Amino acid sequence: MIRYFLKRLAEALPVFLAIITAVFFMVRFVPGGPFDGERPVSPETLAALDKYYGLDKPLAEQYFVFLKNLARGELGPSYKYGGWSVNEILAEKAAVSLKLGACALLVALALGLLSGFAAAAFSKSKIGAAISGFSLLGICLPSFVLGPILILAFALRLDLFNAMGWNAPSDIVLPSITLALFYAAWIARLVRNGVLDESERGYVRTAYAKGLSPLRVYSVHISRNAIQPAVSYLGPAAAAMMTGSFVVETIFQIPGLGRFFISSALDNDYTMIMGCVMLYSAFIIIFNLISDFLLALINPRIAKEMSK
Amino acid sequence: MKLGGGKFFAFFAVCAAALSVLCAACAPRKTPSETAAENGALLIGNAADPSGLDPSLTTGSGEYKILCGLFEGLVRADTKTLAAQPAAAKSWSVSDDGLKYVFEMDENAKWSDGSRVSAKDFEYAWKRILNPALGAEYASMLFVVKNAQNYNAGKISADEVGVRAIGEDILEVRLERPVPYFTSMLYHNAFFPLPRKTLEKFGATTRRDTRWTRPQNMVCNGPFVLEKWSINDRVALRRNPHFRAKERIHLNRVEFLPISNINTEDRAFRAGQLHITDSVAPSRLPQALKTAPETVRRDKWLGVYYYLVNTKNPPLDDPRVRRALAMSIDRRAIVDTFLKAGQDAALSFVPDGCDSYLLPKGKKLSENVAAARRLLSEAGYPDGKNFPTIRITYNTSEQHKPIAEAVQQMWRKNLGINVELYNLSWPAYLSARRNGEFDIARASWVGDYAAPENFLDIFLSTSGLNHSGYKNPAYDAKIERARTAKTAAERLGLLAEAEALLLSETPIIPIYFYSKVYRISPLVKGWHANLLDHHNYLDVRLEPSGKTETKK
Amino acid sequence: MSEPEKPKGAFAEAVSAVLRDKPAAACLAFLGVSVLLCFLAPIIAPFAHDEQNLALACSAPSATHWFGTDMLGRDILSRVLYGGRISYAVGLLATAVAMLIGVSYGMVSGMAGGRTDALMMRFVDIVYSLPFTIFVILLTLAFGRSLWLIFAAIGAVEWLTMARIVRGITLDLKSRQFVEAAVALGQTKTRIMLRHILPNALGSILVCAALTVPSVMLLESFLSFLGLGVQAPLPSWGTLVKDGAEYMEDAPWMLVFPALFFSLTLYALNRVGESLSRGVGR
Repeated sequence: MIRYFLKRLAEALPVFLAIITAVFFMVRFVPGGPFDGERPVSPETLAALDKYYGLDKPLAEQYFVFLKNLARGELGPSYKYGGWSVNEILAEKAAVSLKLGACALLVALALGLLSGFAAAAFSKSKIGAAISGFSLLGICLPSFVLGPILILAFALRLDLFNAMGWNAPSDIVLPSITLALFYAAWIARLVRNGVLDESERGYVRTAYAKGLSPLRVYSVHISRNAIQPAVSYLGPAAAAMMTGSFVVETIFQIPGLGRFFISSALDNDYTMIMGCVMLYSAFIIIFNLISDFLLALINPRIAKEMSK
Repeated sequence: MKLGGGKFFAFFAVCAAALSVLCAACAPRKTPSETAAENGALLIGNAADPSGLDPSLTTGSGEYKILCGLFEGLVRADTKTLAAQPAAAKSWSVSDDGLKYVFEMDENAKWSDGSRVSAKDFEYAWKRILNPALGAEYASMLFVVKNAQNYNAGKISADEVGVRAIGEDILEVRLERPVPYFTSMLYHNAFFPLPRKTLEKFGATTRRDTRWTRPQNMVCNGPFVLEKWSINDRVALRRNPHFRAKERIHLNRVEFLPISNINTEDRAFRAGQLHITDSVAPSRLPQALKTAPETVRRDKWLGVYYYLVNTKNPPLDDPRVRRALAMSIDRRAIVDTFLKAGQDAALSFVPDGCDSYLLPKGKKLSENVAAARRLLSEAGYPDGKNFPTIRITYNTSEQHKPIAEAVQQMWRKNLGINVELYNLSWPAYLSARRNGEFDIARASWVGDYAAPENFLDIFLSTSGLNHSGYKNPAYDAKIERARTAKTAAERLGLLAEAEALLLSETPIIPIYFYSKVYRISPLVKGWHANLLDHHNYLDVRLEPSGKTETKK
Repeated sequence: MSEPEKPKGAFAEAVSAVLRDKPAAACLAFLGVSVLLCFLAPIIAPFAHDEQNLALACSAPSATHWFGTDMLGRDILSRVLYGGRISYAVGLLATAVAMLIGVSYGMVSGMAGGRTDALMMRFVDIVYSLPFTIFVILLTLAFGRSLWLIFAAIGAVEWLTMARIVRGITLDLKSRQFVEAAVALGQTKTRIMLRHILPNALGSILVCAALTVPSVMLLESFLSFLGLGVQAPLPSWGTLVKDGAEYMEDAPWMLVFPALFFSLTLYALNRVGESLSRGVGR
């Protein structure tokens, strides 16, 4: 088991390197440089800036400098925020995004599992159809519409929450719901389909034939297998939620990671782009491992497969 | 499927109950802006995070807003009249030829570590921004100072720059040429003093990415000091106990919230989370004016929104074509239907309010579709026939898109020409402009100081900001002569001639003059309107009593 | 599950499953009608998509403008119809690109097996762990803003799931008798892929495609939110919904009508996709 994870980690390393190399060279093809300011700047000044940040060196040399710094865990200074290093910014913002993401993950899991199982349980009736219809809301309405509607209703009309910001404990509620609904919809779909698929299998019929109660069949046999697709979906979903969302963070004014993923690319903040890409890849790799681990817990067969 | 549905409903009910308890527990009673007002904390919306807080290195207006709370220059602007008031210097004198300024420092002016703000701190700061190794974008602001440009170009040593501290008390400044508006240039952060000891401790004299601008490190001489700077969250300032004029500080804190989404900012204001917004979305303006007109301000602002024309390539190398384009835009319609804040339509380039500068009405552009069509047909494109498709390039923004769409339609309708729109990210847009890879580019200019030169210098042949490719020795000569003019009337007259020439050749198509449109809570007192949108937080107070925050 | 020897049966069964499922059939009908309306936009739309009437800016629905007008006085109904063309085109074309890449990649990988398969799937993993918003943004920034490139960029991102699914099916089918028989008969790999594997995978591919279209359309709306959508004044549902969201309190019709079309379409596509997947037995 441990060997499996070590192997996966060892495999992840070249993947990781390939990703950052690809992105490193890709960002240089984007027109415009990182130092284009509000007011146009003289070519001499631009040259001085490029020299200052080592951007005047050949690209290959820059790449090796980058790798060397990376080996020491240094991502370099942000080109956009004077006096800040990328490490510092990412560390500070990751704390916020992890909190919001974890909360959204819980909401998504609760809503997704609940409506997924419910939709399957009532699959023959109108209630099931209604539940599964409702659970699709998150993938039918863009979050930049959903978010403002929630704010207008719950913050401005009902005055239950702040309209934006990240100060009061309650500030986490609306953004995590907005963020979670999209993922909840996917989880609900996967769970519902999983349950329906499983309940048609032979072993379920055998279990009923043995006289086991439906509740027992359901909770012990069906759900264990039925949630497997949802669990493997959780890897990328959790990574996406934990790295924040540009839309949710802009609309709710939350100082998280998500905005940097977009703004760094739009601002040509090279070092920050690299930082974001690496962080995201690391999250994906970690959360995929976690979801593998969970799968192994749920299904001994998978665990056996892994120990091979 | 025969599963007991009751279990799910029970679980659901428990969740719902828990959620509602949570809601009730954290429901805010008093709005944050009311609480803040009681604590003397002013909450200001600032569209973006500062890209830095080093006065030598920042270039944006959002940064300027914050720096005005943290630093003060030799003189500061009266926020009502923009006249120069004593600040770090208690008095100053100008030589008769206008080439030498002598500033006498105020001995009460202190850094936040308690040490004195001396003339040397200014000399150090000015020479630092000019230091070629630093690559400061705004070094060119100081080129009016003697030898500054040569030092910045690395041709001579710092000792030859025309700024010199004589002891702690006297700062002597020599200029390249007489600059009648020199004191108003000093409001700008490029001229702020710097705490030499602190910068040297962090090695920041020639380095850009040091940590001296962090809250725990920064030493300032303004009414406030930096308490917190968290990106995408807030920049918080707290009262500076060593400020020279403590009696004018009525706020305990000022917080700048970098709210980039204009609708988020609007909702924040209405929910009582902000005292002053950065702007108001045009879409929200009518409603705001209807329900809470006392919170809406629409102040004239020294800036112009215009389209820059690339004069190098046909058909736009023909001044007749450019004039035809400029003449066939219905500016009033754009302002009334889209901008909605009563901005002035721009038929010239320099906004009103630069002293007594005035361009005679006959010299301005006019809107006249028939004449425009005639001009276009004289240029060889009757009814827009054979006119190639031209492109309007703009940086991605909700403000620029509808205007470009409207102009596109007007040109098509009035002149029969095809126009396509092209939006780019900010760096890509700037690089397209700099490299001349555009036909027509959206542009704007906001004055750093209230002088026509600040606008007209852009189109000198030698100007690094002149991306239109427009070069006219006659224009350059008029500006040059204005620089050496003996009297104010002569100077302004020559500048008006230059602007008239510029407009007749039309490398630019002015569209409208800016207004600063924002919302302000009635709790804020002493927040004055001025042309430069310049605020220093002195004499500004919050009155929590009386009226409560207007909602909606 | 039907016997794989009769692939057409599996496909037809999936379709008939959708038709039996009443709500899904209704969704399919809705999609048919809305596609028809959108692609007939030049004929049936009352106005041109970019025809402005500044005097009528932001006016509420009326007899002339059924869905009201936007901030430049353009007819929302017409813009919704024209916008649908773009959104459907984006969705379908990007999905087609994704299918083309994904199906061929997955099949080749599955057929090759062994080391090649492992290597090819490793590559999929790499692209999977790229933050793909950055990827799409960099692509649109680097290659300018042509509509076709947006399709390509989105398609280039969305093929991964398809590749994984098709590879899985290929591996599964490879071990079946009828494929082994074909191999024994000396048929070429290409022929086996086209004649035996592709038809059997069709049902699953269709399901995946049906679910890819709405996710591409949602992605297009996200790009529009960033201002990276189609070039103005051309509308797409994404840009219309985005503009509408800015005006949601002041001119609600600017949001309601485009969002209604957009969300119903996404819902219908998802619903049909689900129904298909049950029919295919996945």
